[in-house]
Amino acid sequence: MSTWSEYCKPVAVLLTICVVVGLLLSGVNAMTAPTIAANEEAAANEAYFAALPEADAFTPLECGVDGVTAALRADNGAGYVITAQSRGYGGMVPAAVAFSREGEILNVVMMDNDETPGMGSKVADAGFIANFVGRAAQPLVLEDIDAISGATISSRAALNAVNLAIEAFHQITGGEAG
Amino acid sequence: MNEKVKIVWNGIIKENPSLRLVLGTCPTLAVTTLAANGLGMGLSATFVLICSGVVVSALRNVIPGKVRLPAYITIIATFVTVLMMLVKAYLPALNSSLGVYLPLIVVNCIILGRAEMFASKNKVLDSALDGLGMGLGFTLTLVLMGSIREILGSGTLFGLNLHLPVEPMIVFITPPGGFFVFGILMAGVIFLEEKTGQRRERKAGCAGCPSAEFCQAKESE
Repeated sequence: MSTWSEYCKPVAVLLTICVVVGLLLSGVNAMTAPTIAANEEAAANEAYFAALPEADAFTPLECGVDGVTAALRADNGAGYVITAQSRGYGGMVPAAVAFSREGEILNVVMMDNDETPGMGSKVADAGFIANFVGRAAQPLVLEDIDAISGATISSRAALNAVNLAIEAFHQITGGEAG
Repeated sequence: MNEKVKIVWNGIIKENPSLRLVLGTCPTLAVTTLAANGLGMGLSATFVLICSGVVVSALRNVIPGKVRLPAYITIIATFVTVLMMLVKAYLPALNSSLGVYLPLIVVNCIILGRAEMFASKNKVLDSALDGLGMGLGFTLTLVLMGSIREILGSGTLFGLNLHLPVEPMIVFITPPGGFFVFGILMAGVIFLEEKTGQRRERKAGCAGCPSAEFCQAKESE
């Protein structure tokens, strides 16, 4: 067998395939990238508006609290939305918490999580969310809420996420509200 | 039966990838919590199977044996990446329900298995039909399994509430329930084999592998 077919051809063929593939992929990427970015933004906005439907648009704010993924102020003064996450049973449990300007919790939306279906996933149920709605933005402990039986870890994760959001709320409002 | 129809039919029944070749078990168990997820996964894998089958078959005389596996994987990964970008852009709901299992189609052994067993030895059209048949067989199995798990586990089918008289059994949408349903379906396949007099002998070890007759590792022993 010649040197060409033994050593060079395999390399040349593989290289050619990779070059062709690379060009093809960059083409598809250029075609789809703008749509993907728009989708991701729309998905994020959906959670913010679900938490605070009265808002018209949001302005992102700086926030240095660990576990807080986004802090936003409603442009029309309806309040604030802060998303935070804490580790649960099956990964991170993210929550979007809406605060009024006076520091009352208006709403909590549990975003997609991987908690056990039918057990920990109940943190998204209206009954559990009702634990938080209407409370002042003060740190909560497990005794304050009606945890889900059989899902203490998920309940605590949801509580921690809300507490992180409360901490972030005080940081961005400078502690003057609430 | 027409040769071409036979190739497609082969993948759906005789060599059903999930239940008779026992390939692609990971996505079979992981995404079938809902019938719609099974359908999405099945059709995604079908797309990759057909496209990679065509390209591998077209290049079968060009790719040297030494680098065939890296070449196949590159081709398969390309189509999976293209699929991923398209799904992310135009079907974001499917993307979030399939999650990490969408990129993992790259290592779905049905696809590499068919590239190695079929596409590298057959004509382009036949390879496309084999991909179609295998893909449909995989899709049907996933939809069947997803339907069973969704009906028993959530009381719905394709998201429609069936208003069953009994409480849904949540265990069916958890991983143990997946293994349970998979086992019952495999037993059902063996029952049908028995009934139709096509019982396939199953041995332990390499000889018992459903793909043993195509296996190149065996030849080199």
